[in-house]
Amino acid sequence: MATGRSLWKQMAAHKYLYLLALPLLAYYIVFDYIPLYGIILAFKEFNFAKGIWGSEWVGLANFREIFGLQDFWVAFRNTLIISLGRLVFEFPVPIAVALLINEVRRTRLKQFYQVVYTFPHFLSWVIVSGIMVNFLGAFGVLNQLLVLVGLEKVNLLVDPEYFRGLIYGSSLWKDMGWGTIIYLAAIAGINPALYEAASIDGANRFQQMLHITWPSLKSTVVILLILQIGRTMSSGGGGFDQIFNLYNAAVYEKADILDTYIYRRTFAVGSSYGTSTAVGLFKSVINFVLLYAANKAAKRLGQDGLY
Amino acid sequence: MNRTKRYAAAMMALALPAALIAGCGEANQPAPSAGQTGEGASKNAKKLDISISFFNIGKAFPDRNSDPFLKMIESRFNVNIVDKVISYADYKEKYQLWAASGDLPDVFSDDNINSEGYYSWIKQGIIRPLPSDLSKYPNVQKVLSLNDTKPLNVDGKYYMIPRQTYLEPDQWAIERAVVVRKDWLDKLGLKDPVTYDDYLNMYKSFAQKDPDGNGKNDTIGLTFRSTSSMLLPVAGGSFPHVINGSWVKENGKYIPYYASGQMKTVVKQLRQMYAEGAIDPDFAIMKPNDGYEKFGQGKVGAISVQATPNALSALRASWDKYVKDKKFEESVKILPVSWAAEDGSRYRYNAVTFWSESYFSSKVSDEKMDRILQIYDYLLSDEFMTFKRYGMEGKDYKKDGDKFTITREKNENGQYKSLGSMYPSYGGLFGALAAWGQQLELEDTETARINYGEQLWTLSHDALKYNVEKLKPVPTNFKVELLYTPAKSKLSAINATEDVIKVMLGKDDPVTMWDNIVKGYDSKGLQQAIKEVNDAVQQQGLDK
Repeated sequence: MATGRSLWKQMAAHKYLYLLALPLLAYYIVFDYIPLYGIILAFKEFNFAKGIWGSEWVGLANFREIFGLQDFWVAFRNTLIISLGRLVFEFPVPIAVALLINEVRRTRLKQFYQVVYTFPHFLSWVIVSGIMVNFLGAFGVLNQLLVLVGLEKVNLLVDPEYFRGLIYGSSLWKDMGWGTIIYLAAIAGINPALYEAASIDGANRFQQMLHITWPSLKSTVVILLILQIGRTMSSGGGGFDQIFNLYNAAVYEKADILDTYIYRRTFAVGSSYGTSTAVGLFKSVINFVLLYAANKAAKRLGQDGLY
Repeated sequence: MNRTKRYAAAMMALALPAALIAGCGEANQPAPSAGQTGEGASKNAKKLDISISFFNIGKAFPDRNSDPFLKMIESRFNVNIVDKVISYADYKEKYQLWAASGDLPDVFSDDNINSEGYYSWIKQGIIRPLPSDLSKYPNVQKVLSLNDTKPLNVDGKYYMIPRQTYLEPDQWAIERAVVVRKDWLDKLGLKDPVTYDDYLNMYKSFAQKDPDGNGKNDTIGLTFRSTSSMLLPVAGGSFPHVINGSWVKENGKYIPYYASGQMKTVVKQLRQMYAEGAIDPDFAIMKPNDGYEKFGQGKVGAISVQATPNALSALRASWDKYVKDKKFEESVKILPVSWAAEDGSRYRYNAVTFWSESYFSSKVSDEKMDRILQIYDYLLSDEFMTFKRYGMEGKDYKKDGDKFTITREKNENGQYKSLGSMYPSYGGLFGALAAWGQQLELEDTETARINYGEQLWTLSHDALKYNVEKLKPVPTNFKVELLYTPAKSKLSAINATEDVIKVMLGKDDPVTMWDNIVKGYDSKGLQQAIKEVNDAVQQQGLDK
């Protein structure tokens, strides 16, 4: 193991630099690796008095219990559908917005758009859901407008038909600007000489976008796509907060995702932590497999993967 | 699990400042000298921190130094009260998290009795039992030896102190009622409703006939203080047991109300009420107490709510915020919560005499438990009852023999200040910590009238009298309600109200939808629970 020895040598030579990495290492061990210990709860019947380790092993009983619940499969299906929907409806939008903002020539105006689009991200879902209830409720702005033009009132928040559309729409409103940041950064890194050369060759703005901006952006898109696929079972970022604050009994059948289902089950019924952990583990394993597969596929297609 | 952890972290982050604030309070307090503590001096030599979670506790300690009642309790029992804030919306979640992280407060309030969670708390050693000998605390002992609390021991031990609401079941009679706009009834020329059609018509008229006369279609028929507990009772005329959510005896067998065939009428009628615009279109997305706010804004014709003086004064507080030109007491009327049954009889709410219980963390030492029970014993004593009625002697009232003279401070409007506003720790915590004592609200006394205002108190009291005399209590076998069987406790997984809401908002035939839902209950252990309960009824002779 010649490389191993040389690595050690190298590390010894720069030992004070490596020392700087220690706090970070400690951080990950304490906050990300030690808590993994809690996973064994999925195979135990948790007893508060005995603690995690002292509790009794129950094998796969927790998994059998959750797989036997009809509501679990409803939530499972919804999680997949909502994640897929996010991939189709939400994922491409920030890319398009980034490309469009990039085409704005005046820097001031560009910054203005960016701020306007980014701002909603800083409102919490609790606030956004409050705004939405006021806006979409029976006496909200939307219904007042509908009545004004002589149409029937609608009740979007309690109608399972429309609920998913609301989920996608509201998270687009809130987060599409935030999502553009990383793409704009990638665009900013493109060598301006490329554009100059292209314009001398007679390429117009659209051709420049197609042949210079997009190819430079592609690897970023792929990486973010892989990450998004890896979050499928958690229904994307903000999935829990958003759905938890917006849903209600009338739309559970379409809106309940695994995270919200487990939350309700744990707290409303006071059911065991074992089953909750089991669902968490189940989710993580699926996420891992999807992430791995997406990464592999990306590499096959000649893209840089995550690792 | 991830999310749960995240919430745990968030909760703890929230709890931390609270703990810090509580800690600061402590630093400012002079330690009571031996002479001040009186009887407690030798007995309670060591000063103890007692952490408490209680439903209203968030408002209990605005300024610890200006609250004479808090000072009295802390010096009398030589304790320091530490508050851990919960609300009606999140207490279940917080207790679960605190239990998991070993952070439960010493004393906390929950309505958990006989549920699956209650027994697993006992089994897992999360909560501690009361000492077997309670003779040192006669008032606590008395509460635990009442008829409807005596059977609540588990293997001979009590793991909680029931928080008594009333002294007798009849006092619950206005716990479910409909408060309507009398001025709107008059304007629309409607009479007091009796039948289902009357009620439906009244709610619809409120919503559609522009009772506030502003030319806009912006009024609501019927709304709810809290959808989860106030929705089903409005259909109690068609099936009385939905009023108190109890078990019903049908064909010689006890079944939970939601398993009864009579629910078909209930879901049909509630669907109709919603579809025809009688019910607040936003009822499914409202949070608890949103209804107060809506009614107060003057856009609602009726609200399903408690009609106790306390609940009405909360409604009035919201009203006074928005409606300036009409007096609340002169604008409302209290009606029975639901219409008359087919045979003409009308029903009212009834229940066991307590709602919710005090629990004690298993980490509480014997010494601390003794101190806590001393406090509870005081809070259940006649002495404290006198405080609840009159306030502090010498300051709020003078006593001359049997005669009490009220000397309480008045506010700028010339009305007596409420005890809760003068002593926030009393209003937000101690007044209801050991028992709600709501019978005091209903008592025909000068102080009850002072506390809530003559007019409002009379409104409530008349409704109580009317309901007790004219309405029948829902026929309920409380022995079955309090019975524990393993499968019965698991029924807490069923949320029938949520399922009724689903049917109300659904588009398919309501009865078919409901039938499917009830079939689904079997997979949650409904049949097993019915079997166990009826076996137990047979064996223990609970059916009399």
